[in-house]
Amino acid sequence: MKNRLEEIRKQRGIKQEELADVMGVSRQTISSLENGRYNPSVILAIKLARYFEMNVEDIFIYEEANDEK
Amino acid sequence: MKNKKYTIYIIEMVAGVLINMLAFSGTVSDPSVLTGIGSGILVVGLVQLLRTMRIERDPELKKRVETASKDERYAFISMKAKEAAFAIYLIIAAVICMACLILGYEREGMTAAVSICLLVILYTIMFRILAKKY
Repeated sequence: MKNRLEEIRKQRGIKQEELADVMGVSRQTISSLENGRYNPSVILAIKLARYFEMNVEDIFIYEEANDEK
Repeated sequence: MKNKKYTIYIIEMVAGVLINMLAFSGTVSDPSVLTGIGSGILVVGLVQLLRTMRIERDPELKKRVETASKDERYAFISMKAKEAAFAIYLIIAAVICMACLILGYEREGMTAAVSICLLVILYTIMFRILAKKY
């Protein structure tokens, strides 16, 4: 699953550490999400969407063909 | 909560010392097993106590440890690691079992076979319980 998390975070001028603190996860989790190595839980995806005041689909792009999990 | 943790670790250490004292009291014919168990419990309690004290003294470290304990990616990695360890253990135990049985070490081979059966049975039981829960 692709995502625009890094792009959106940088647009808002937020550091990975700050976002991690707000979400209650580690900085490595934010880094892994941005690199597409880890797909978030539904709860974390919704929390991120609410934090950025966007829809989940605006941040995370689900592509069935590339879905490996 | 913090005091409860300390109490548990201190109880562990006291239990370790008591087991060691029992081992050295001369009432047991072979004290080596009891000494091993006692020393193990004592060291585990001591390490946990020192670790907790270190975390409590360092707010930055405490925050990192708390975040790590709640972090969903760590939980996911931990689950994946357990899954891989389980699968690898089954293969290793199966190889050991066959090798032992071929080489005539029947008792060791049977122990490995029983451990495989036990794991598979436990997995089946846990799967059924969790399938009802979720």
